[in-house]
Order: sequence, then C-alpha cells, then structure tokens
Amino acid sequence: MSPVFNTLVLFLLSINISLAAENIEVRNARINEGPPTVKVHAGYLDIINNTGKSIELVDANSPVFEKIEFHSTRIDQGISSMHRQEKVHIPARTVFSFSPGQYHLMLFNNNQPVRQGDIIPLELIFSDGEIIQADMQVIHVDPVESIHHHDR
Amino acid sequence: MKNRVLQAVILIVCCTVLGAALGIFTSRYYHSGEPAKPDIEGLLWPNPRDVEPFKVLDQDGKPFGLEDLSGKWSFLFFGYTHCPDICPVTLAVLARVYSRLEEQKLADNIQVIFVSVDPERDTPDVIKSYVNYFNKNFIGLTGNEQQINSLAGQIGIVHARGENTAPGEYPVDHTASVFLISPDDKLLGIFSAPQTVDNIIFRFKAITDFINHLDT
Repeated sequence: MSPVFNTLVLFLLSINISLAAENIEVRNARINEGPPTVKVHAGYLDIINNTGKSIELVDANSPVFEKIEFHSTRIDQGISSMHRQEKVHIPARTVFSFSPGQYHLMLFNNNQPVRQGDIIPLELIFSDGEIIQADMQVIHVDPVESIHHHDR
Repeated sequence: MKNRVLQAVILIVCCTVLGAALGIFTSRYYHSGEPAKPDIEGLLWPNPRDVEPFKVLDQDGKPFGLEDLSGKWSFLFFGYTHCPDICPVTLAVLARVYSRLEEQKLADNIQVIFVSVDPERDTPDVIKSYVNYFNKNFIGLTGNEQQINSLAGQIGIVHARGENTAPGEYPVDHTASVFLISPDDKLLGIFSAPQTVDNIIFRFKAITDFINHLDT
C-alpha cells in the first residue's frame, strides 16, 4: 500500500476515534413496568457526557407518553417529596444517572400498555439543540436487594 | 510526703475500680422493668406504643380495623398509586422480603399493608389492582381523609398534598419509612428509607427473636 493511502487511513481513523470520544451517550434506559392501572411511570437512564463542555438536558419526548418531565426525589427527615426540574445540568466528562430515589423521568399518561419486555423510544433534547434518540426497555420494578448490590 | 500522695492515688484508683464493678453488677442483676434495648436499628423499645382502634376500607371496600392487625406481624407502608418512584420501589422491596420469608416458611403470620395517603384518587378498585401487582396477598387500605388519619396520625405519618401541576395531577409528600406492628398491636419497628431486602429481613428476624425470647 502506498504511504499516501496509509496516511489517509490513519487520518480517517483518528477522526472516527475523536468523534467517538466527544459525544453524549445514553445507557441503561429503562422504565418500571408498574401495575396496569398506573398512568404515571418512572424512567431511568445514564447520560454520559464525553464532551469537554457542560451540557443541559432541557426536554424529552416519547410517542408513547403524553409528556415527560424531570423530577428529583428528596427524603428529608424521613419524608419523601418530588420536585420538578426544568433542566438537568451535566458537567463536562461526567455521568448523570437518573436512578430510583434520586432523579427520574416522570412519564405521564401512556397511550398504550407498558409491559415488561417492551421497547419504548425516547428523544432527549439538549440546550445546544442536539437531539439524542434512545430506546427504553420496560422492566419489572427492580427491588433494592442490599446496599452492596445497589451500588453500580 | 511522697508516700501520702501515693497512698491517696492508690485509694482513688481502688475506689474508681470498685465503683465501676459495683455499677456493672447492679445493672446486670438488679435492673427492674423491661429488659434493656438490644442493639437493633429501628427497634422502638422500651415502652412500644399501642396501636389504637381505627377504621379504614380494604381493597374490596370492606371495613378494616385494629382487629385485622391482631395476631399477625404487619409491615405498613404509606404512599399513593400516582407515586412513580419511591412507592413502587418500596413495594417491590417488600414483595421480595415477603417471598423470601415465604421460602423460609416464616410468612404465615405476616401481612404487608399499603395505606393510601391519596384517598381521593386511590379508590378500593385502584388500590386492589396496585397491590395485586406486587403480591396477591398484599392488603391495600384507603377510605376518606378522616379514616386514613385515624391510622396514619397515630403511627406518626406525615402526608401533604402539593399544588396541582395539571388538572387532577398533584404530588403528595409522605413519610417514606416502613413500620412494623407486632401481633399484640404494638408499634415495634421502623425501617427508614432507603430500605433494602436484606436489611429488612435481618432486622425483622432480630426483632422477632428478641420478642419471642421475652415470651419464653
């Protein structure tokens, strides 16, 4: 192979690597199935900000839910309360987890049954206009077995 | 002079040791009333509070009162069915606790009870579907505000309805702990959030062992 070709391949590879390292990833997106009469579900996911700048999650949509909000749960002196968050700030090169008892996507009024094993599309919108598509898997509500197992 | 100081020091040391030994002896052999509180997190001891008579409705719309608690160990959790995060996770933990105790043949005299703090939306039908999802043996309780408070108030449950976020949509702040009531209607334990399956089972067994030991 010619040196020019090799250089070109290396150049293209380096672009690919840099793109992979400078993106926003969504992992482990899931919804608690919940009893059939329930019309409000909780969604959980990890957002990995691999970029060198902070990002803000400002909106979310799904064709299965009428609306989605971001909520935090606080337990203060034994009393649980939920608080709506207009946006979620994710600093550069950090992971933000929506997880039980902390933050969740509040998923209102499903227009179809939400059953274990279903895959439900999700669209996350960031303040710079970037849109990330993800699939949420519907799972049976996951009990916390022990603190050791819960640490992930 | 030096000898006198030395004698005084020896006297003080001897008195201290004797005093401590006497204290330990008397505390072990001459205590009165209920036994000392064992080191079990969440055990409400001594002088556990008696649960007073109350009247609410169960998931079939039938009256449910103090007599339905008697004779069983009852785990109580207060929440609401529109709560998407803490409530289903806590009930999933209790469902796993119950099935583990069933496997160990320890669930015969145990009942798990979910009490709604949002009776306006949580009718008996709604509660029934909700608790059945977690375990067919779970009991769901609701009623009017006064009925709910006849139980929640004496357990010390805090619940407060928040502002409407849309028509018919509102959050309810509520105590997130699980409470344990003994077969003789005493509020004996509190499992604070966040609860885990292992921790509740461990503490429940420690509490029941302690109580059973008292009875023998």
